Amino acid sequence: MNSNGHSSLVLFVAYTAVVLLLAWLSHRTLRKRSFVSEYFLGSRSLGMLALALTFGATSASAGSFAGFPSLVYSHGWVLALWIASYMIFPLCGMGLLGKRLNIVARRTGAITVPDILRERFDSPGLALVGTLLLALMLTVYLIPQFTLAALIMQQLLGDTAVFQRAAFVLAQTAPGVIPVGVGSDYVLGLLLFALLVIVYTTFGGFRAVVWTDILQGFVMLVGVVLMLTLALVQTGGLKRMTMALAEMTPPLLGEAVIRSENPAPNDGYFVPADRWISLPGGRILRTNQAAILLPGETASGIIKVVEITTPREKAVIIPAPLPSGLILEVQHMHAYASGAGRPGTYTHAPGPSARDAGGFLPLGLAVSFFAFWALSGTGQPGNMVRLMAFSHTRTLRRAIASLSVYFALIYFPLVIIFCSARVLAPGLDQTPDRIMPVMAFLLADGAHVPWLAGLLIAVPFAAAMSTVDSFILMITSSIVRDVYQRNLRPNAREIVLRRLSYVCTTVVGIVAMVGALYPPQFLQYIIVFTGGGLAVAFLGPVALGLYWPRFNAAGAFACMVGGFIAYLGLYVAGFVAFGGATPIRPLGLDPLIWGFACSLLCAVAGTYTAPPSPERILRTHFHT
Amino acid sequence: MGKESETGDAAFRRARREAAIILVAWGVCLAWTIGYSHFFGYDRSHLQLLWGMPSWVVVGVLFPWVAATAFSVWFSLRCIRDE
Repeated sequence: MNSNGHSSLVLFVAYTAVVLLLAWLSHRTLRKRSFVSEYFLGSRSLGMLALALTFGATSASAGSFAGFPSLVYSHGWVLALWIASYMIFPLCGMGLLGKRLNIVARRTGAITVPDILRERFDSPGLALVGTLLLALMLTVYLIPQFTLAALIMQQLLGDTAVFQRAAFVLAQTAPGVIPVGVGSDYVLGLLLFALLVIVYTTFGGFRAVVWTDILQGFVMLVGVVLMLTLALVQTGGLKRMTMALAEMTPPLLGEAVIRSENPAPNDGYFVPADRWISLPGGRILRTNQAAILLPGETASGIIKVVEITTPREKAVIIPAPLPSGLILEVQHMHAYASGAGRPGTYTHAPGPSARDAGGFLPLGLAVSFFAFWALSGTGQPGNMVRLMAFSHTRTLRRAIASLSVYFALIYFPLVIIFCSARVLAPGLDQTPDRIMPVMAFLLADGAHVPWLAGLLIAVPFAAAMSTVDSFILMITSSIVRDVYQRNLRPNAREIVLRRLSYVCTTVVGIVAMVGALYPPQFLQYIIVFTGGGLAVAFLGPVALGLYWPRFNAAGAFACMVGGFIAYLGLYVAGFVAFGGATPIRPLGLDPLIWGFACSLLCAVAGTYTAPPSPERILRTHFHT
Repeated sequence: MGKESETGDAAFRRARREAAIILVAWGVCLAWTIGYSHFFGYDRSHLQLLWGMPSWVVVGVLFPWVAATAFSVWFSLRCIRDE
């Protein structure tokens, strides 16, 4: 086992031990308090640090530390504009609804978001529709999170002998559980992640989730600060990095095979990924996948390759010759649809794009994303639940201040780090999702501190875990509280609710894990689609319900369903028109914007078709 | 619905005013960031650096980010009322 693998294993074991310890401590608290309020809402006792970091860590999913870095790497400085609304996200996400939501939840005894809807609109039907939508969308959301977490586990532990041996044993003893197209190491990573998350979430409930979020929030911050420092040192500073980026032109992307003059020997040939290879005519390519020639064969399968086009880069890259008798045969190459051959494309908007002729971020999309992050984050039920759990308005105020500084320290530096990655590790454009672990190893090795790589790779792992645990618990609360306790057995005994909650949490985790055994395509698109769908469905009814006394059940129902149908319709139309996960974007604006607009129109139209809510409800919600 | 129910109590009105200010702050950030970036970030004719970064990123994104963070801290600690 190399030192990187050893440090990763030690780190993982220590991290697991701490997480389980927190779950045990939380479970002790759980036994002393009212089960439902404690298990799903931590007895509404969150302090400032807990509220800020659980809000921040839940918002920062695996996408923030796997998907976002790959986008920065692929498109450059324009990602600063793409993520820019995080500058105001803590204030919007917590400040817009926080105070009112918390006050109303305390007055009405609401524990979940559907609880809030039921109490405000006196409508079990609306609460049930909300519950079903919530459970369905969150379950879909969990699958790509589990998939990303399994991939991270592979990278975190893949170098360790224990993990490799266990994956081998799994493949030998239980080949039936390994679906076609994924390796036993992926399945093992998934099992380990699922087991850990299910155990501590089931055992510890909301309080364990919040405590681990605090731990994970610190891991993320420390990791980003370390990576930023190392990246700037190793690129020679911001100015040199940006100047190098300004000279770059997008590479050519293509496919190739490795050919052998003679049939491969008994042990075959293995050409690892990320190898620099020179071709006649001064061409320099990098393999993005490993090539394998089985015994007796003369050609590998098709692998992805990237051809560097920037003269200065070509001058400094030192290709490694292939083993004697092997040659790289290019099948085809193609240029970027936008930005090809143009220096400066990585330092300006709209950024280069391999697929879209209009570039990565046309102005309409920039506007959409500015609305998307702030408003979509405000409308996430996972965030709303946290706003129902703090102890006092003073806690909310301090948490907003802390989280604003925290996000400024996390997201803008991520842009700098992964712009630096383009300079330090070029030629990974066909597999950019690997850039986070690649940078972790590169920076740690460059600093001659190889054990640091384990800590840096733990960052996206922590992000995935902090999102998954929260969402599993929300689905459980939807089933146990909103369906079982509120609709089927209002007088259910605490022991029954306790057992049902444990079973539901376990089953939800297992369902998501089984879904991730067959990794879906378009991970980032599924995350964006479900996150946007939840915001469109819940932001309108909750926000208008808190701030508009005239708003009633008819308006809330029209708002939730109308907005969601408009949002879903644009995705379905895009699927029919383009055959993929790209939605239709009228006027260049994202479906989320149209969903919100439709939601508001339906809310107003629906509200004025029916009488106001009963006076007793208005008194509870709008008067002390 | 009575007049009293429409207006709510003082705590409700304060919360609504604070929410309105937050929405305005979001709008100002949107206008600054998108407006500046539209005029200077999408122009690829030359690269100007400021603090080692493209100047449109610094003025169009980093400055408002710092300003928004400062405003968020000030507004949350000084202006949002405890209820």
